[in-house]
Amino acid sequence: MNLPSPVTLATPAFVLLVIGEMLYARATAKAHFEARDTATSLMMGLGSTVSGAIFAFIYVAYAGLVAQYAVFDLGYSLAAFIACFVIDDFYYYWWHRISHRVRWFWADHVQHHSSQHYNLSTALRQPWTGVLTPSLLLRTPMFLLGFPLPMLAFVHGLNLVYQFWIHTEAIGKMPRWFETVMNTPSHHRVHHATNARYLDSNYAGVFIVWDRMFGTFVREDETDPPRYGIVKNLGTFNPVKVALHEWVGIAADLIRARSIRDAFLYLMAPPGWSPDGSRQTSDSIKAEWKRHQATQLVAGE
Amino acid sequence: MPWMYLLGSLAGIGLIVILNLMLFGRSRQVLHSLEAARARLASEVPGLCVRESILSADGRAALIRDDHAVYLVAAQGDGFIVRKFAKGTLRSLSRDTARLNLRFADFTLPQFDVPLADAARAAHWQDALRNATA
Ligand SMILES: [Zn+2]
Ligand SMILES: [Zn+2]
Repeated sequence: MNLPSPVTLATPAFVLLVIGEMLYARATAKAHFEARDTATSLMMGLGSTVSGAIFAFIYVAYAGLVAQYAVFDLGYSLAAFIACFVIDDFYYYWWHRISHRVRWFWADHVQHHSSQHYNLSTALRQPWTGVLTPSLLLRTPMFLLGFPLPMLAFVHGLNLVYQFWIHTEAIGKMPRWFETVMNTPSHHRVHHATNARYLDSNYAGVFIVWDRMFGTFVREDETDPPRYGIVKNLGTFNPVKVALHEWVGIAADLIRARSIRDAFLYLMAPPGWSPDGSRQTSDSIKAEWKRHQATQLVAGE
Repeated sequence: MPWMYLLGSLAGIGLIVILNLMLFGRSRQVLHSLEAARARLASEVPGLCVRESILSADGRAALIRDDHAVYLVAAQGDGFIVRKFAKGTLRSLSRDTARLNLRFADFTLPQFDVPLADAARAAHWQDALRNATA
């Protein structure tokens, strides 16, 4: 069955909505744009499409190979589409969580988080280097289940299209039932924030229920507005440097590594890990923040 | 066909960026004040207790020292970059009268100059950075 690419179909709408949000920002100051940041985000989006097209053959070859051993033949029924969408989103949650907790994956995903802005152009700031991570291998169980490969590509595209609109400060909170079940601008703002209380949370793609189920849900606190970006914000708007910076960091650390164990952990431990603990990880930042909160509480008693 | 798609996309990106510039102008890439720099650092360093701080002569950056470390807070677009000075942070540090030349071991921020009001203050902060990164 020939299925269209949801992302390609939605691209004109993406462009119009970015422009619409810009005009809205100008009129209300409820959203923020900076020209160089916008340029970088859009160039990252274009570069990601190009690298995706160049390396698509690897995806097709691997998925095709594994699919030969599929356990079921699930076909194109409506039920199969729905099941595929939900399972793909469940997979997305875990892939995303791993992408924040394992530096090898983070080197790619950090590119999406590198903007200090949070607007619809940020949604298009997509990484270029997925082919350098083992993300494809993580999808092996999906290929083995027996969903048709065009269906897998289609629902994954739908997932990404859904995530576009949640990259905005222009929308406060959605109705309560929606905030309970679905990923929303509020939940995803938290995910993009570097405030200690928000680190490593809200990994959902479409359904926020995964975060609620697996203990990573954090509510947006109006008294602590998100600061967007990464713990060590980048000193450049150059998209090539944005795409490569963490890879360069990993390479430098691997060259300096004093043992196989250190080399392994530079790649597989959470971002910021170092043998002597001199660098910050999200865990150490959160621990330090909690310690400070506790002493504040004691001092206030 | 792919080349047309690429050129069309680049043209589209150019137009959106031009619209962005028309609507919001170009960010001046300066810190609004020393207080703004200190507030930003305080939001990132719990319990920060500033001992001394100085705004650069061009307004782009501030150097801030607390009991434990020295920090650079600089404007990046209309956002911020913060760097804590520790062993290995700098490849080199030199001074040209009142201007500090920092060479970072940092792929996205290889160099950063901090012009200060006068040579005496620059020498003082050069010492502080030397101690922090020793
Ligand atoms: Zn993420
Ligand atoms: Zn995002």
